[in-house]
Amino acid sequence: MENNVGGEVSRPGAEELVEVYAGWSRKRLVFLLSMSLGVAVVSVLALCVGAVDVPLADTVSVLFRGLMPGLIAEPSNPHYATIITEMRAPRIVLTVLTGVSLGIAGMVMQGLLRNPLVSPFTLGVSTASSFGAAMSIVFGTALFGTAYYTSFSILGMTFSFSSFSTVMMSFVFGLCSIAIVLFLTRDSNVSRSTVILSGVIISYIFQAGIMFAKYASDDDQLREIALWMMGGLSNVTWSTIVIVLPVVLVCGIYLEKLSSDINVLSSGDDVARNLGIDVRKLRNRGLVFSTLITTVCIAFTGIIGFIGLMAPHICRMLIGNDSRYLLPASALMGAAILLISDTFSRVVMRPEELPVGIIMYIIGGIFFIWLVCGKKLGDRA
Amino acid sequence: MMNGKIIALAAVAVIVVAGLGTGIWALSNSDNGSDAIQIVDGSGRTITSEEPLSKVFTVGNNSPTAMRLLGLNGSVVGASSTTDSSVAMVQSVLGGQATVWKSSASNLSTETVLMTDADAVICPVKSMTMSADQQTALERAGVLVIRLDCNGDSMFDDLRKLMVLFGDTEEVHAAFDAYNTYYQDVVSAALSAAESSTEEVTGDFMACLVASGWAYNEVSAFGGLIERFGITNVLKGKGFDTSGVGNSYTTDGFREVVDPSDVDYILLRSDKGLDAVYTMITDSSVEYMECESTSAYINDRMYYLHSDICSGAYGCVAYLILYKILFGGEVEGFSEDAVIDHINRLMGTPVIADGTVLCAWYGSSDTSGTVLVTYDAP
Repeated sequence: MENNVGGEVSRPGAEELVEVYAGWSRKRLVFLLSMSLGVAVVSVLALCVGAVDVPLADTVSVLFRGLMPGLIAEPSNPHYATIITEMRAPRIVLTVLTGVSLGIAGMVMQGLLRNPLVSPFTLGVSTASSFGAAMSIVFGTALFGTAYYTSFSILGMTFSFSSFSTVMMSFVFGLCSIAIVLFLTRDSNVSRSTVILSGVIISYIFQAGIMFAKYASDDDQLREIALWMMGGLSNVTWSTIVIVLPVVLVCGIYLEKLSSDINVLSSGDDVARNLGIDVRKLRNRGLVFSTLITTVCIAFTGIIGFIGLMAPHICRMLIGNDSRYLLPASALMGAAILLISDTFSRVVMRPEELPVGIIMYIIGGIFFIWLVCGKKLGDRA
Repeated sequence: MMNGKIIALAAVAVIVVAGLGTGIWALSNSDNGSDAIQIVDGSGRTITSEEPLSKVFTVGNNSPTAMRLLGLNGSVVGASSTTDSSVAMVQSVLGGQATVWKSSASNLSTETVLMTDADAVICPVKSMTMSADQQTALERAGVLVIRLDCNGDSMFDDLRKLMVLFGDTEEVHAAFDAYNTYYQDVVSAALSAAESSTEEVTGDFMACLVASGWAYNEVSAFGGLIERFGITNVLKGKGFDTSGVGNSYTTDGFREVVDPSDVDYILLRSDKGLDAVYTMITDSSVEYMECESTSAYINDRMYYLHSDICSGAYGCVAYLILYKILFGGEVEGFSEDAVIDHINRLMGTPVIADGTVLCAWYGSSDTSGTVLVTYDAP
């Protein structure tokens, strides 16, 4: 029997459902806030450690002295300011942005393709970007002549032409991968498996190109290609952030807007279509923006694997599968994982820096071994 | 849809404003002194310093030795080298005042360099050197990056450039003149002895860097050094790529154009020791030019020379050794021991240690290698 009081329809158990849902939402919000705080704390700690350890007091002094010059003393070493503001801070910002991008992209792709093993690199982005970088490194002088070894300035920002060329070519070829996937899957009836298979095919094709570049390279170029493919966040400048941040912000906000539709898509393509969602358009837009947000970061950092695979998995275990919360959670988790990994890579062999990709593969491998073993134990139970 | 467009436009506006702001700030901080010191480094860049350098960070093994030869080792505040032994050598050459880190150049943290308070970094031009990104990061922090090999053909030019960068003082000039004069005296003595020798030396040689599958071509410093004694590089005029100093002789193309019977001398440059060298050159998996079919091998004219005497600070010693193996006998007024001892004293440390094998020969008559010249310290 329904009571209709003041326009509200009350049913037995409805209030309990609302309360349970509100509880879930509060839990997820608390998780997001905790992750945000965690990322902020780790970021500050990351500013303190590296090839040179900067005391926390000096780090705080460098960060806040500009705001309160009378209250905060100068850092004990004049080089700390340069190390913090010019070397570490932009690096940490890029680390956060990259972790955010890969986390978001991984979550979106897993949602769109309904496959938990999909990562931002499944559709061939990593091999295509690596191909672009390899071409620049090996054939840069043939393409650009002696200009390849020069530096130039744009709006006061200095770039080395060789780095610029590597970034541009890896970015362009990274986007080419999604363009080829969309072309191959332009038929409206194409299945998710076909999309994934297209990405695998593209990976193999670009892999052949990378192998050719390695074959044609000399020792120094071969090493440079290998280091690029291991991923690294060294020698980042604020000009990199100026380029990456707007793209990550715009793409991240747009993908968050798609998250409700991705939730619906989790029930199946037919259900989503019946609810008025253009599945093909949703999938294509989601993949394009995921690829864009991934490519703009890895053009500067090289290939950093496992973030896009791991971060959504961990968050799904903690807060469930609601994409509206899962997307920011994956972003923050990706940032946290990459921050910790990068900090470790900077101190483990100092004054040398280990490529962060090595750390990520170790962590990723251990994580998935744990996951698989956990599932096996779960199956036996 | 409208919201998306607004967001996109806002993002573009942020980029433009940030870029303009950075540009205006950077341009307002640019400076150009008129009494600045200027050189062109090994990569072709013009390096400008407002005043003479006083503190530098060196990368690799050659720039510390160059600084030592000029008496400027006290100006080195930090260094990096790749192996434990080279770190120890660099520490000794620099006199123990600088901190020397074991690190490959491309992996070295720029923070470490910055903390040494160095005005500049001196690193090799292309090989085992700092990356363009590291260079940009250091220059942004106010540290000059100067690419000088301080080795091979460019060694004396690079020494002159270092003199200019450090203000070309009388003491530095005197140190350079003393070393340069001594070095050229040794070279002249060896070449004069070769010229006036009654021994007729002709033929083609192949000069190899052992363990890399390489033969030096006609533009290489090492090949050029050997050619001064009247024998010709077998790679000359064969159309090999001379954009670098060597060619891989494990390629089929190499074997197609070089007839083993034309190779009258093989000179093997290495620091790996005699047994290791011979294993490498005859190991079928390495296939070093099928050396056993060369005239050089058949006529016992394969020679091993220690890497350290083939270029760099001790490069004049190679002239004495080459005279010995090609013409027989000693160069009047200079012995290998005396020359190495002299340069070791300039270095302040025995960079070439007592007992180091400087030269050995191999051939069909002796497959294990016979030592010809060893450094015996006084």
